[in-house]
Amino acid sequence: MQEEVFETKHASIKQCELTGSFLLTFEREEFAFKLCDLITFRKKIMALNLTELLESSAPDIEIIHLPSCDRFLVLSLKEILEFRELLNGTFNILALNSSIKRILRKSVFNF
Amino acid sequence: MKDILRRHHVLKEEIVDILNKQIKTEAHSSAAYLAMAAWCDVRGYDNSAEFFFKQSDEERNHQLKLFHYLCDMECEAISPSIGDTQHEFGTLREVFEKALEHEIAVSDSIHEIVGETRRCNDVATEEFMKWFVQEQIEEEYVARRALELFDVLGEDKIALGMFEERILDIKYDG
Repeated sequence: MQEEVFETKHASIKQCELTGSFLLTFEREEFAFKLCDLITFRKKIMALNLTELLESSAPDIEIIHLPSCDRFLVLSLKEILEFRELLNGTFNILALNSSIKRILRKSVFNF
Repeated sequence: MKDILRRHHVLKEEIVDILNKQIKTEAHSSAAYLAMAAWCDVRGYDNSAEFFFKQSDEERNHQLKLFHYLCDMECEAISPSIGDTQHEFGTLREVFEKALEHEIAVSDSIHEIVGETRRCNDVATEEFMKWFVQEQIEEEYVARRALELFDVLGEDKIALGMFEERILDIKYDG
């Protein structure tokens, strides 16, 4: 069973309840991440220096390696911004879900 | 929706980052003490060399303790790269002065972590860090006492010989 966590115009992240992994869909391709790999991926995306990318004479693209699924992503500036929105949104929803679950646990266990 | 974030990632990102930074600091300290040990060893200060070899091992153990904690919490523990360390010193006293400076810097960063755990309301990591706070009290005490020996004995050849006789006996009984 999969539940959508967050989506943007061209990408989405779903949570697989059965395997505890996350499925990123981007341009009809699917990438599976364990939570720790998703966190690492987010760090990589956030660490990209967009100003440097814009100012350099090289094409405005970044190549990101995803060791967990042995794939490469070639992202344009626009796509990097979309991925930032997607990942920030995902982790905000996950944190919100954690907070709701914490409150529910309290009431269920009568703490 | 299952709470995968809580099940598999116990610590907040800020805490993971600051603990990884501390792992790097401890690794750097271990390397710095190794350089001090080498300086002492080649100049015939055998006991001081032993003192710093032991300190280097301790810093490495601190690094591993933090590393295992992150692994146990299913967080990303980063094996650090280590920058250059100081290999040249003027006198034995200067080596011990650097050692004390080092310990004070490590204490400061440990206290910063405790502050961050409080800010993030991470009680478990705060509890875990208590051991490091105590350890730093001991480390700073030993480094300070070593320097005080120079004040008491002086720095001529006989005094340095007496320093060598006493350096391994400094213990914290607190």
